[in-house]
Amino acid sequence: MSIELISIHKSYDHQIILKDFSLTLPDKGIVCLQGPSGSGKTTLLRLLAGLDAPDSGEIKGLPVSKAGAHGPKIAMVFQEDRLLPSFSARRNIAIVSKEADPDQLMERLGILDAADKPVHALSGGMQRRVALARAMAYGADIYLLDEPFKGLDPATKKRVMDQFIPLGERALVIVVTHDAAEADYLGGTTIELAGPPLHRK
Amino acid sequence: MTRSTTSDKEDAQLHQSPTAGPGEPKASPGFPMGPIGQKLLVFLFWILVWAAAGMAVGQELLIPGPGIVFSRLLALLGTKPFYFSIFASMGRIMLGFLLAVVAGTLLSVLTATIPFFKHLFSPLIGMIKATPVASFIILALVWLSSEGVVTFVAFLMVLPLVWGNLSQGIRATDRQLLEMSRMFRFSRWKVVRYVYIPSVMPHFVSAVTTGIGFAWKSGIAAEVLGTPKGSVGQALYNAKIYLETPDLFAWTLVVIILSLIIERGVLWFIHWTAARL
Repeated sequence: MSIELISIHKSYDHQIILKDFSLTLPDKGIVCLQGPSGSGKTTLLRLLAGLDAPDSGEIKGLPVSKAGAHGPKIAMVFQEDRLLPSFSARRNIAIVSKEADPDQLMERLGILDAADKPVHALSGGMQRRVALARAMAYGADIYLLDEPFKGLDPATKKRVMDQFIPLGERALVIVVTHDAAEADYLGGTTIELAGPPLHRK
Repeated sequence: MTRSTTSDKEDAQLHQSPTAGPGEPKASPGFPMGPIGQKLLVFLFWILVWAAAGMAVGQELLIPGPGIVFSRLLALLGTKPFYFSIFASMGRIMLGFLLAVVAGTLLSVLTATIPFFKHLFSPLIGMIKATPVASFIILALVWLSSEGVVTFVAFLMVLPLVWGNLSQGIRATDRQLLEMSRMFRFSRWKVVRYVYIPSVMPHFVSAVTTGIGFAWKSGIAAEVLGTPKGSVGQALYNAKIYLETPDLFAWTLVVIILSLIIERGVLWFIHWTAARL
């Protein structure tokens, strides 16, 4: 079930983000996407998630532009946490899965104390971890993580990364990061995306 | 937040937020007393202003003072027709209000999901909004019984309000959350329950609060023009004919108080329901 992107073009607002971009992704393991701002990391995640369709080119091994309808289960951690603000941390996690144990996940990520508070009352770092716990609870074939460890202090970051590394053994975990040390720690392969768009229309 | 069960966690929460929450009334600076004392003082102030105005004018026909109005009100409270009128008017007006809330909610969902219906209904709603209440009342008196007119007019006044506010709430729903719910394969009900309802709720509450006032004002106006037997509107009409200004004031006071009580009750009911969905 490896995923193939074949000469993808994608632009937003007349700005080319990806041009003749090709890439083959394994069906499991950790893949870190690195590159400067505007190099198309988030765009690439959105294409893989099926939230956007490429202007041209082909994505094989994924249901295109039909997010979540069928095909592999994809868990996404957006750059913005996108939590349900008025609901508790526990509810935010439990809502995506009947099987997963939210308390156990929160314990592992160090946010169990915050379980009953509405997420809008939590600190940024805690909200981040609720979003990460939600993705873990969902239990996916593909994890798309957009700067997932941003805003976490070093000790917490390490603790959280340790929870995600084992997921690479049975799922594809794609991590967008600016931090080379983070990529090193996570292991797996690193893909460098070219610099900011040299090519504007 | 209740203190009935005080686990350590809740205690910690209480200590973290010693200030009153946004929902709890708090004495404003400059008032050396609690919120209830403050309210009482403000209430007394306006009663005094009223009394002063009454005395300055010196004519009961123009501005009856609080004393005579309250004594009139007390007298009314002892009569059976008073209660009959109050409940009859309230029933008709609240029926129109409730129908409008239901219809406006359904309509807003319909127009938000199918653009065709938005184009179809927008001019109609716009027209209802712009038409003077009196025109509807007079027209409806030709079609319906004077009792029916009251419900109909209250309905027409509240419908555009509910529709407009809810449509706005639906439009303002966070697209990022909708995208998220798509990624995590939320069922349709889950999207409504966890994304749409929390987003629409403040708009709904505001529509209901304003709507109850609208319903009473327009409903009573319809009763004054249609004078159904045994109604608040008829009592107001009689007060006008017999130049009983204290009666007018007393009945108006009753309407204001009822409207406020119902508003509180309905809001409580909405929050109660929302918490149990």
